[in-house]
Amino acid sequence: MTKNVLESLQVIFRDVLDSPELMLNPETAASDVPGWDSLAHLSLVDAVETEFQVKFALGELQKLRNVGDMIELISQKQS
Amino acid sequence: MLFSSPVFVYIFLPVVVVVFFALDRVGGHTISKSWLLVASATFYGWWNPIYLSLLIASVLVNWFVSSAIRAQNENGEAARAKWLFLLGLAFNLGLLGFFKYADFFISNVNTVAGSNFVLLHLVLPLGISFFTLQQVAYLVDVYEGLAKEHAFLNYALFVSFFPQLIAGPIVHHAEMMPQFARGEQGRAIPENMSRGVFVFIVGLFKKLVIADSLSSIVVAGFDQAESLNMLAAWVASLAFSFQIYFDFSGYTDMATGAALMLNIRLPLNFNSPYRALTLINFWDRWHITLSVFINTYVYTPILRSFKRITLRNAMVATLLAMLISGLWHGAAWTFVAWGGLHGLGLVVCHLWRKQKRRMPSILAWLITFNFVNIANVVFRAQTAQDAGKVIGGMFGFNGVMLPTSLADMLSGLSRAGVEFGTVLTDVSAGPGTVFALGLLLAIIAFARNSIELMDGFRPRYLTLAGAVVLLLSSLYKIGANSEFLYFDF
Amino acid sequence: MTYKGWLRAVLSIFFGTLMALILFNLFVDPYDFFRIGPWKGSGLTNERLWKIEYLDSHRGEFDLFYFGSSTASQVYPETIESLIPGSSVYNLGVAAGDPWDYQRMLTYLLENGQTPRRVVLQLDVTAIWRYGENSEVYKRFGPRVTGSSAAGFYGGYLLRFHLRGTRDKLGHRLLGWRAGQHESYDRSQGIYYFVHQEELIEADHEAFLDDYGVRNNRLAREAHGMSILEQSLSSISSFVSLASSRGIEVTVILSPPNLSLMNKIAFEDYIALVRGLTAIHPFWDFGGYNTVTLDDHLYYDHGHFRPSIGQAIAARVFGGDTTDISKDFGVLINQQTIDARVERLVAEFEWADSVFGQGTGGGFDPLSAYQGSELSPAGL
Repeated sequence: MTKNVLESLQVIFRDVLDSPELMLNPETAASDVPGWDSLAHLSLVDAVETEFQVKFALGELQKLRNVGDMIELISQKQS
Repeated sequence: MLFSSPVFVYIFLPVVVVVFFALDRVGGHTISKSWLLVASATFYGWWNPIYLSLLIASVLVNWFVSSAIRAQNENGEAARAKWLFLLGLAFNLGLLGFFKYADFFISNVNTVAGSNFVLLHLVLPLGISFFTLQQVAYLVDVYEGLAKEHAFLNYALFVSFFPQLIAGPIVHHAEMMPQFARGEQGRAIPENMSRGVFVFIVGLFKKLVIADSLSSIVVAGFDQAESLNMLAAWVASLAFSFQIYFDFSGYTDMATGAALMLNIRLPLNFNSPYRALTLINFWDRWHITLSVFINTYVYTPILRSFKRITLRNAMVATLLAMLISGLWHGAAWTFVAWGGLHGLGLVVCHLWRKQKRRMPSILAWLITFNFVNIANVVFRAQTAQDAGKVIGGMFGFNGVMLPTSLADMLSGLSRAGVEFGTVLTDVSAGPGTVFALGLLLAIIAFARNSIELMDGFRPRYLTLAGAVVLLLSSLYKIGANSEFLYFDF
Repeated sequence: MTYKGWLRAVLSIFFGTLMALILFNLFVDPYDFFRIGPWKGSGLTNERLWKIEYLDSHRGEFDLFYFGSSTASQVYPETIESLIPGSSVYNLGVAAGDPWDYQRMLTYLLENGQTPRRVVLQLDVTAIWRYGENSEVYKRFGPRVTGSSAAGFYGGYLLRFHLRGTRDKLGHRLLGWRAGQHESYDRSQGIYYFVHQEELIEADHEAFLDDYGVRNNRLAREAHGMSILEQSLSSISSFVSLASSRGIEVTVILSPPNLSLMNKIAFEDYIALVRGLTAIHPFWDFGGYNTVTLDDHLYYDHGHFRPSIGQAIAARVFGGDTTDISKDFGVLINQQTIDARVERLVAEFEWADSVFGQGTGGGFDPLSAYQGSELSPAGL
């Protein structure tokens, strides 16, 4: 499950951030990825919401600044 | 009650801290927390007891509405929850709008329509901008099912906890209510206590000795002078930029220190903002808790309300969010203009970033700092004319004057229109002031900030001597009346 | 060093400093708030505090209150008492007093058992540019008048560092500096004497005038606009109507500023002041350029006049012998006479502008110049 989520996220991230070589792992944080700024963040969130059919609350968005937390929250919402 | 007033430093804070730990030992957490609530109400009502009822009403209404929303959410009544949420939002914004913006609105209507409605002249309830934002965030998160904690005592304390009640930091329920819910804060911890005392003293010094000493220059330059020559205008603008930083961050230090004495950690609010190399980074370092709030609860909803997230839409959202932030700072067009300036600056900064071109750090710093400094002029000026006077002076529109002592050496410049005379009389300053401003700039640029000092604090003779020197010089200044700049907000 | 040890050291120094400060201020008592130590009664005192305290313990003993700033201190109650037989007068002059102070004091006194039959309000021209609460601790009202807490007032006094008051008092007591004029207070009348200045005048009057900057006729008029004057006039108006509503007779006096102060006043400000006062109540105008205000020998400085002028004012206002007083000193102004008075003031200001506008040489005597002009009252 987690592995699938991570793979899907990698596709989304490569697409939104326009960097085909990008490799994600659960420890990856916003500060590690060039271009993952406040602007790209909302585009990422938007794409993730569409892909996984989930909706994030406003108060959750600040906490999604690393891949591990994102995976956890997605799994939580899908279950 | 002001943090820098004798009654707070000499009586209120020591009594609150001692009684809190004594009560916790004797009566338990509920009793000691109730004491903090009583202390906070006293602190708030000290200034204007009438508005204490407003604070209490705001806390009660928000708590009941959010409890009702929670109940409807749990029953799956999404529509009812939404209505309650909108009601709660309207209550908060209505309260803030009435007390803070009614006169601004009326006077604008009068100007535009030529009407003659009477102004209400309401006294702005202390801290209403701050406690309204905190409760709006709570309401949103309850509605979206995020706020877990809802015990009344913890909620009331999260809103009204005296260290952050009247001028921030703007705290978030998710970081405060769990701290109040945990029991272990009821025991005095020497490490927290000494760190708290230390950073409180640093803040007291920043406020009383540094910021207040700059205020006469600022008042003379902004409010009294007819016109300013170039050097005087720069001295006035820099003096204000330093004043507001040392004043506001000093206040935050005192809040952080007072809270830490009670084993509560307040969020970071200032992180050496004047060292920022980009405007985006400046807002990650200046009044951080406000930036986070604006980003989460203003900018994001605006951007998400557009159909697509594009660069253009994001820039529009940025500009709107900064205009709203400007208006939040004060009910006047100068504040809106200040927010607009920063919004435009952020847009330019984002567009530059897309270019992926590098800029030398020193140039980036110079551009960022001077932009912030000039925007601060608009923030401080009471009228557009005053802002024009200072900014015009900075660009040399009112002439350039150099000290008479340089007249012999640089006499050739007089042909270029440079005058010689007593340069800084319009800002009631002298050469010592220029030296002091240079020293402050060096401190801002190179010294560790107070939170770094607090985190690195160890009980040593050096920190002891430093704390005593700062404390005694602050005690000397404490008698003079002073108010925090951010009290009007 | 442990955290506990560090904390103990800082807190000991903090509370130790506070205790030391409190004891020091109690003992030295820089502004004579408590008057309990061995050094009571010297240095600068807080008149707003102790005059009210004195009157509260002598309720109903006085039937005439003489309000004013420190310039009123040289109009002695005994002079007025000799002119109004059977009266009992108290001088309520306070340092840097302004209409805000007078309104507040009168309100307090009437609410607290005082029953004057007459009040005199001696105003200064500084009402044009000074109004509102003084921030210096020795010029503040005590808690009785403000209704604030006594603990806050006295606590604030004890916990502050009073550099100026401490320096003056210790200098006087330990180093033999001369005392301020407040040394010579007569609390039962509310007045003090300029002992030191009179000694200097006695020794060499001309040297005194030069050393104390009395002799200064430089023209430096500065307009202050109406905003502060309007507040002053509003307080004066409240003062007058409050007294009148209690059936108390009101006398308003505009005190005579020395030439050096007259030359700093903008013409339009002065006219606004006298017209504003006329609209409220008839008043005695001792100001302008006249035989007294142009004579530096009658002044201690630009605002404080000597006792002989106090006697002249009292004689003029309370019906004493005025044969020796110049006719141009003290005119009663009311709705009927104001226009003539303004006409006269126009001439006085024009004369002063022409005489002092170019600057005068040393040894110039403004009084003789005035007496040689057509402004000079006949029969002098």
